[in-house]
Amino acid sequence: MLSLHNIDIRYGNFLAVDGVSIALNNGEIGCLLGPSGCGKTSILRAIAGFESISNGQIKLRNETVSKPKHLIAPEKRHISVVFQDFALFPHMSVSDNIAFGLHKWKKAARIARVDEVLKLVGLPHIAKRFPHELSGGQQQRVALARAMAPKPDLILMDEPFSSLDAELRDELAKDIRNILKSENTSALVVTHDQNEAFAIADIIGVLREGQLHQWDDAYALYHKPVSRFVADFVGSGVFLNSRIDQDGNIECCLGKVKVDPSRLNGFKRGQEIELLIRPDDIEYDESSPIIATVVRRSFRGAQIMYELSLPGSAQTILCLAPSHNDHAVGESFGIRLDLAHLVMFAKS
Amino acid sequence: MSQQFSLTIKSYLRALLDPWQGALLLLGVLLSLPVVVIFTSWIYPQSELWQHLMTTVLQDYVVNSLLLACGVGVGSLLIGTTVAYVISRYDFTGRKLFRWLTLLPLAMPAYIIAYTYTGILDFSGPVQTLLRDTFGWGYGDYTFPDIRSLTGAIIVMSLVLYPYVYMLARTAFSEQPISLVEASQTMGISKFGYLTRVSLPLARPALFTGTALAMMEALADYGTVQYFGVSTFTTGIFRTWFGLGNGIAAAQLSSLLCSFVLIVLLFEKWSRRHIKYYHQGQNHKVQKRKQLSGGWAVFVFILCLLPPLLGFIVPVIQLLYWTWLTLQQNIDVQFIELIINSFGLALSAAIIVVMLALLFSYTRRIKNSKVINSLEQAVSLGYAIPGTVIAVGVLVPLSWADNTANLISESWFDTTVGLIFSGTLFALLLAYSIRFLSVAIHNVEAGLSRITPDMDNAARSLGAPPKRVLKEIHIPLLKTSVLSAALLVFVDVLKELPATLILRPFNFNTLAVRSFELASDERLVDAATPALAIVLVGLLPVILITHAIDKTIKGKS
Repeated sequence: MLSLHNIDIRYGNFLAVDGVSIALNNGEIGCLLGPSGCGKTSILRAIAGFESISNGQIKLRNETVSKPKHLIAPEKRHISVVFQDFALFPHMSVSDNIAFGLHKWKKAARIARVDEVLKLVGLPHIAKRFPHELSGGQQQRVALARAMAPKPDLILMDEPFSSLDAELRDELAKDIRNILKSENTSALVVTHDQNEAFAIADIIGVLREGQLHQWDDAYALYHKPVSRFVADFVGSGVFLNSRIDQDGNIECCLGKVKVDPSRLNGFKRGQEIELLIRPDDIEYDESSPIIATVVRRSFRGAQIMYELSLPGSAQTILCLAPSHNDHAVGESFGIRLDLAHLVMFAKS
Repeated sequence: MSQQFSLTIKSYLRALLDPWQGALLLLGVLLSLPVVVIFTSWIYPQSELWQHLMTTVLQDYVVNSLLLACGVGVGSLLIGTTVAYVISRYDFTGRKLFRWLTLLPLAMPAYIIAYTYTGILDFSGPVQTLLRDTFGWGYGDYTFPDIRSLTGAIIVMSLVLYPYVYMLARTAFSEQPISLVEASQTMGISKFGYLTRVSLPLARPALFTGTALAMMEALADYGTVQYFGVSTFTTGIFRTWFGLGNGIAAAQLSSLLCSFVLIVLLFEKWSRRHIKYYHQGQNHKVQKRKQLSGGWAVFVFILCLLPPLLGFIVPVIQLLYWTWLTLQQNIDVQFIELIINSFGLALSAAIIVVMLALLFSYTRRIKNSKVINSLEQAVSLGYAIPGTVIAVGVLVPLSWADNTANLISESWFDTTVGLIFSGTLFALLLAYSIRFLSVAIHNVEAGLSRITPDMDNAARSLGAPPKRVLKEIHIPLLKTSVLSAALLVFVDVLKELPATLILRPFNFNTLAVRSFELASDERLVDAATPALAIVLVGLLPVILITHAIDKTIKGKS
């Protein structure tokens, strides 16, 4: 459906996007995730045709739509965009907004399609209203309805939830995912919020300073990050100073971890490394000889997130323990390392 | 520093090469030409004439202009702030009426109110007649202050310029959140303390901006001071050019006046340097107005009524009476020609200026280059430059161009082409464009800012080519602001006096010029009909502004 081949985007001398390649299949929902200024919105605008690229090419349905010095106009791409501020036309009613992209359709078909998408987004009763009379969540849905109405090949969404209240976001993300899936529409979403990315996307790309670090599903990003940045940006966790000993095991303040020799490719024996410990890698175990002390805690209902200090180490680790194991700051309890996914990086 | 300078030069050169921006840059040069001309006039020193000016009238020009500007500034500040504060803080019978009544003096040009009051306060006018009849006085039995003085000019100009302060003050007071009152109360500050320590300081930037606008108008005024016989810079410029016949010295005087205006402008910018801090949250509860009744309500009612009564209602009644007296003899072919001339001129100027504003605004939107930004800022300064100054600055280079054209055509074709630049409407339209472009740009940009770039993008990606985006998104959304820009320019041109007086083609009269000439010939009664026409048309933008203010205040609450 959509493929980016090694694209660069430049603003003057500034290289905003640096050799990014991704591919999206029909009906798939992709997401570009990264901190602000990482180039994700530039990529989105390049796909929409608002921005030209200085290297590589963008293909839609196997047809090149962007390459250096060649740009197919946005109106000829059959891509719809949902903007951060929704960009609804203030002088048009909701139904006129939605019908804007349908002006080549026959009147009856147009009316039917407007009704259909309004039902799809769950707002069949507001067709005659104007954008300023709608709540933020309603405007968001109308923007989505307007984007979906012409049955585009691809919908692009730029930070679609950033102007909404936090409570609305999760729910709306799930709703929008269902709506997109029900019409089998491909979509690419840009966000800086990983929870939104996890809620809406099938496949996620993590970007930093114009470079794509990883293009993978949420599970892989969390448990098999390919770079320290991805490991740090996605989910929480700590990088524990460790060392590979002469037998090929990892030594850290939580004890020795046996490692399959095939996993040590690229690492030397005796090398100092950083081992990624996620909060769910630490288990509450009263019988364990490793005793940790609570430095900070935050109650999360079913679970409590503890920040723990270990004897003989300046570093703290995170532990997500069931809520019935209630410990105050300063108290100690036994923990055990249960590393399901070994993620380590050479010490920088 | 020098590197940055060469970068700036480079960007200008690049802009010149781009045909679109290049054309705009040349236009910008044309529009800023008058100011450049008057400031460079000093390269031709006129020492003899300056010697003369310094020993005779220069001191008058400086002192009177300063006194006038400061007096009008203080007067407008007092009236505008008081009325705005009362209307935003208190509820009383008739309050709604004042929301638009207070703005009416905007429709009254200062020179018209000046000679209207001269008629009212004359020896044979209604006021003195009433005094004589009541007390049985005769001629010479009493002294009556002469309105035709500097003090008189300050009073009548304050009466029509206070709305500048009022408009900005009203919005500023209405924006102040109730939380500030509550916070002050919890800290034990009295109501008067709240006014002097919180409310007024918070509104200060708005108050000063309004005051600065009134002061700039006062410095720019020609009609009032000329009619009242007060020697200021503007009358001095006229006298130096048309009395002493020295255009270059007139330009040099103009540059001095311009510097005075610049100081006021800087003062206004300085007063707004912390403006950001004065706008805090957006969604706050505004203060509830206090209900007044009894004596206080009557007092406040009279307080609010006085400015529009004296600044608009009384003079309009006088004008209506005079017009009624002379209606049959004054509505003739000549008057219809005046109307056609004035409206035609104002309409052409409005169309040209709005087109220029659209050109500048759209180029800035599309190109977003530093060159265009600074160019737009430069041409926007035109509103600050007095009409007299612009006229001098336009006439000097255009006369030169005409002379050159005639010399060339005479030597090549043995014929003269006449005053093709300085003697035609071209000169007038150029002057109006310089003076009123900022009004139009301000309105057009306000409208354009509501069409976000993402709206364009949304429309494009929904399959609309640029033409359809223009037709279905831009034109409908921009219509109102373009029309109001055109209306404001139209009325401003209709009222404009000094530049029109200097630059109009031979035998070409407008309502403003005719009215002023008749008044100067002591034919006040005959001057009333064209004056009334100007005032009535001037009411149109006042209605527009009333709506705009009500909308801002409602939008905030």
